[in-house]
Amino acid sequence: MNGSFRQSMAWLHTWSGLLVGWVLFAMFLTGTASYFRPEITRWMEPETGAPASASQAAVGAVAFLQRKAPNAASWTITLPDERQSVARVSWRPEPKAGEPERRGRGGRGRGMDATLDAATGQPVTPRETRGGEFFYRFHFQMHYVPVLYGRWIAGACAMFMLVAIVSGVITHKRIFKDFFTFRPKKAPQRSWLDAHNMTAVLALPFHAMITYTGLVTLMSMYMPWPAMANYQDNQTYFAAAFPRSEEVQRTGTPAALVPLPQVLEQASRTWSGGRPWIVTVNKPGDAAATIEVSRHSGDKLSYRNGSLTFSGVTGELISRTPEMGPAGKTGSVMYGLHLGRFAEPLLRWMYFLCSLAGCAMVATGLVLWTVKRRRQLPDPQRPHFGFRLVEKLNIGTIAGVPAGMAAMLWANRLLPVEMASRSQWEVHAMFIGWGCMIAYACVRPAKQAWVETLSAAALLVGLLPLVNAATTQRNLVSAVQQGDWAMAAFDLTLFALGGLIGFCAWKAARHAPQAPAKRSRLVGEPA
Amino acid sequence: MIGLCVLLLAFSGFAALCAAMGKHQSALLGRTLSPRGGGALRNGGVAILAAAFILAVADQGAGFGSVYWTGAIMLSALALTLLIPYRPSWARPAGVVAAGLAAILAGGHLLMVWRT
Repeated sequence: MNGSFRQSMAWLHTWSGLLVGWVLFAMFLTGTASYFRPEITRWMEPETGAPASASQAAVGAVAFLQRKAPNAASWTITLPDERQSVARVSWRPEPKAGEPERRGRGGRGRGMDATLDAATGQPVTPRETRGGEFFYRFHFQMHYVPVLYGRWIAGACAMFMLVAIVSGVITHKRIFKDFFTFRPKKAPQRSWLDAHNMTAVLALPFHAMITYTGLVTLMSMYMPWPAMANYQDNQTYFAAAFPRSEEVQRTGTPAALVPLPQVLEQASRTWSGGRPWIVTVNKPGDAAATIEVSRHSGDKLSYRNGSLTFSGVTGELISRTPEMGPAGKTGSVMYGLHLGRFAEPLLRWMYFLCSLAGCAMVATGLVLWTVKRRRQLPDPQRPHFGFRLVEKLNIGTIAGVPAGMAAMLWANRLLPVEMASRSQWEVHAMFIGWGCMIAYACVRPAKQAWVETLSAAALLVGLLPLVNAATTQRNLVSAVQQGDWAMAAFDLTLFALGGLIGFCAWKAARHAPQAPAKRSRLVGEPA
Repeated sequence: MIGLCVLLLAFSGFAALCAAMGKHQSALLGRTLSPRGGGALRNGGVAILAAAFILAVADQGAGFGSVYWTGAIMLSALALTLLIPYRPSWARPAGVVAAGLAAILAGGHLLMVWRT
């Protein structure tokens, strides 16, 4: 019974992992990059400057909005933190008579938004790019498919991942005995299994957390029934779950806006040192003006940290969002754990490295599928279609996703700045790069394909700092001189990742295929 | 600084746990331990990991501290497991040095806190 249970779990693990492995690898790698989303955006917008304090940015943002949209219904200011160099502002005009008042993030994307330098408050026009936001969006909603379908695909893949994690733990008979075991010089199947076990078991808390909390972030979409049973529609549910400050009506009496830094300081004091993040000014310039300040999502483990509403004239605290209930708090902490916004640099690097271990776990699992089966092929020179398909997709994806991501950064630097739909072409570059790698893997023998695609990926990643230096004012030396450690670390990380992929290419080049084993030894081995 | 200290302690704790295991003893220590010796080493390793947890929670609070500690133990175990096949003889000195460095850092930190 025990034996057959374990065998059925091994079967489940093998096929649940393989079926969605390639999408999972892409989700994992773009998700890994998303831990440095603000830094990637800064890199992809070389026209922007260096980070500055939030209150300095707030002064500049208010001055800009007072010039640009003094009579707007509301202004929204997303303040920079120490990792961002710009404040993003948007505004919403007063609705015309008879038109319902729209709420939400203002006029972003309809010409009623701007990017302001954090230090000077002057508008900057960075090249048209989606920045780090693209990797973040792709990792849970895909691309080229409607957002909702993409989220369902990502959710299904995450569910398969969860199944693979649980069945993998059951299948692995020697978790504690083999805890520190990695034997790179043993037979290929042994070494790959060790590598797969090592990256999976030693970072298991991270993998389990990230998969489960990933599903939780979209649970109101995947499992809408509790909300449907208790609320009329989605809007009523969201209004109850995440209450917003009350709407105000314009009185018509003009009044000067209280200086924003004073309000931000009071908010910070109310939160005993917490950081303000998104500021919404309702009816600016009117006696009824209010200022809603939401707390930075990285201040606590929890992602949603509530907001305070102040009078826009006197600066008095009017109201605060109510404390969340236990379920809301739990969900919010899970959301926060997944995004890791609270992580200080050292912990952020830990998130990044654990997440890279997750990529390695998926990649080694995919490779292991072929390594195990290669020995059992009747004729290793002419494998059957399924084997060839898996092998080509493995090569084209494991080398192709990093190559594609690097291609997007190349496109960011090389496409003309004035090009139409430039940001879309940056994104196309990623998929063209990935697709080319799969196509290339299809026309080359497996070993050459591994070596050549990995070498190409290593060059694409590792040469990026040089492309950066050649095409912009920025480079590693000037970043160090200016003390811009984020951008210096960005270049160094690209060198390191390029080196890592290059190392894989070198290992693949040195790999000597083993003589096929006698078939009799394989009887009774799990698939 | 305490963050680094937790990371170093996690590494030395795992080095002790690993050296306590029969299959790694000859590679790490150059000899095999008696069952009692192995047991003592294992308890020592667990105690060091527990000390790292207490330090992390005392420094960063229960929430941030336990997340940080979990990250630290995962990565230090990975680092140790990658070290062993290539340089097994380095594992023991590395574990001892990590523990010593952690003690110095923690001592220095305590001294600074006490003096201010």
